[in-house]
Amino acid sequence: MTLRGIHAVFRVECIKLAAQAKTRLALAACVAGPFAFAAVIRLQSSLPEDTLFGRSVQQSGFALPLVVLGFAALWALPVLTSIVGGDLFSAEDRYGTWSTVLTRSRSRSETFAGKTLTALGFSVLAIAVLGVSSIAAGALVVGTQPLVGLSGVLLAAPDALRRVALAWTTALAPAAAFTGLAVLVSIVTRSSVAGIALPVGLALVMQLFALVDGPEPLRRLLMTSAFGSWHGLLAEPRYYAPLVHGIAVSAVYFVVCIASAYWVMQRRDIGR
Amino acid sequence: MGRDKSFEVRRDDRATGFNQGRQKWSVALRVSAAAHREEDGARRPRHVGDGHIEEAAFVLERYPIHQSTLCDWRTAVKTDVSDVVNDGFRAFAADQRPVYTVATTADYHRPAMANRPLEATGISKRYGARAALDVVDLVVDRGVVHGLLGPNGAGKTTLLRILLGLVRPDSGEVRLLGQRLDRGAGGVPERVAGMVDVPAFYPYLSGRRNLQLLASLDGHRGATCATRVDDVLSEVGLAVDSSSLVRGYSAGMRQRLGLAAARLRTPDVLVLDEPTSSLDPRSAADIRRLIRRMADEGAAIVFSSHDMAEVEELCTTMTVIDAGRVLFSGSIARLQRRTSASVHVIRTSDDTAAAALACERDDLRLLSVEGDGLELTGDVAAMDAYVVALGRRGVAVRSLTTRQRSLESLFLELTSGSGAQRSNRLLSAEREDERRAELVS
Repeated sequence: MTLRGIHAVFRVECIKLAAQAKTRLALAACVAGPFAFAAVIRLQSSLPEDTLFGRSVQQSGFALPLVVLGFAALWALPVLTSIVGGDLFSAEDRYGTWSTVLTRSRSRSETFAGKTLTALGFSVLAIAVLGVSSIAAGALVVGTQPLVGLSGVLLAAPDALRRVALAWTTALAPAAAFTGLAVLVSIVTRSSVAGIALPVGLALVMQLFALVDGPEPLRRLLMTSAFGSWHGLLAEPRYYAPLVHGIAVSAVYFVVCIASAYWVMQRRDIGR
Repeated sequence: MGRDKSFEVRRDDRATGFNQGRQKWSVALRVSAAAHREEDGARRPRHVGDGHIEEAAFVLERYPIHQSTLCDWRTAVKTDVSDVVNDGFRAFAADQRPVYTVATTADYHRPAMANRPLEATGISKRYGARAALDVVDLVVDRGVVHGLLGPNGAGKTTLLRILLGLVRPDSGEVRLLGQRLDRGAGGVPERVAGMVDVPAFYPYLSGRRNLQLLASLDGHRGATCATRVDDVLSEVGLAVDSSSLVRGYSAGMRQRLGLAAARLRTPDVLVLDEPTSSLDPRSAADIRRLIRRMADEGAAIVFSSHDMAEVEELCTTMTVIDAGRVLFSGSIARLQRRTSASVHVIRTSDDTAAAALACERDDLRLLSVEGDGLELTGDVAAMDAYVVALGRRGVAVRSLTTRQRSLESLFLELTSGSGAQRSNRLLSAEREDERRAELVS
């Protein structure tokens, strides 16, 4: 396995992704979604008060990206991470192109690594686009007023912006875990439908488990719990324990999923 | 002298060794024969023995020795710094002085290997209880189009997939251009290409774009790559349609694109699975010409097909497999020698009765009963006896002719009946061969 080989696969996968309507649509939705949400919030009189920072959404533009983050964690982020991760491998089965790809000069390990990096790259890109778009929508539609943090402390605009950006960054770890899960499902089932639907379904089940107040130790082991680990960043003083725990849990999920996926990929007979 | 030593040969991006410098080696060598050097660095290496390393066997080259330098060599081996030079390994001592040179077996045996670019030995593969391949050997020489024949489900495609590293054999070894195929290692070796089943491409990209991406995977980019893509598209007659999306391609166009994708690798070994199955006669003829040309250029080509006329036209050697076992491997002429090469066509006053009588006889084999007579195989004595027997039964012989059998007929005979019957037929043909050889001598 060489870096040059992985780069070659990564480059090819990026070109393929860029040529597909689904990825362009997903990214377009990431750009337009927050603006549409901001416009709706601006127009309606009621607020999403049962959501964290929902009450502040008309008072500070920095509340809007946090509301979007909370909402996206429910299903949008699992969907965005699975839309590529859950399809990148199984698409080769759908098109029957494994024989074409694996009879070139790149090894299976390089192919696996390049594709997984592409899936991770898309997840990062989607979250970055959604995050930046949310912040921009909040700032442009509502304004850059100071934000009242979770402890009631008023956060100045630059500080609020930094914390909001950090909050979005925390979504990367669980997103990577979901990408790993999508990759695994995609390789094992060889089905894009399963590769996208199963991680999303699992995310919803995990959210439900958290909602019904399942046992705390189990809740802390859920992949989705890490999506809420940013709360400590908006408190004063800040606390990082959930963040560290979320990253650790996500890392375990990611490593287990990717290692299993690699194992299956290496042993698979193509054409059977 | 003669003791084992281990040292590392590290990868070097400047390598200019195998395959025009694209091969990079990172292997541990185990020296199983004494290696020596001459103080003055004289360069007249001689082979002293074979060694073994994990990924490739190698041959140690030896320099004349002064006994007193042996100790230095041992030290140097332990503190190695290594490099890869043209067509072999050269290990350096810590002070960068070359200590000795090791060439790989493929390199050392290059004259012999030159005719054996594809070697598969003892390939077995089981799917559950079913043996898809049972200790299959396949060797293809340079410049040869080797036919792979067998009925559906015989194991042809499984064998082709194994040759390309798509399927892992349960046992056996594949060597392509002297390199052991290990699918975990580095993909298919350069200058090896293949097309298994109906070739598939990304439907949302154009034919040209698909080829460009495949070239990228092979590490080619830029203007040279674009030119090469255009060249191969022209060769397979797809230049005009190359900008159209592949989703609009017919099966024949996909097959041409598949061949173009394989051609892109300028293969020395080419594995093709029914490459003309979806083509119209003219296109198929074009593709056959291209395959022939590639073989003439020195490529070793394995070619599976159900079209016997095509195999007869293209192939000089072939392997027939059925139920995962090799029934025959060799030249078509040899197959004709080993089976009954000629067929007797007999027309009688009562073909039904004649057919029934033929079936009663052990020394004859009824190939077919058609409107214009019976097709039989058997030696002359058996035919004589058969004609006499027909007369005794009151069946008149109206005509009796003998003609050379087609490959299709040979194939049908070879693959019909039980495994034991087939073995017996080949065995008796083998004995007949030996008897003839004795008579000739």
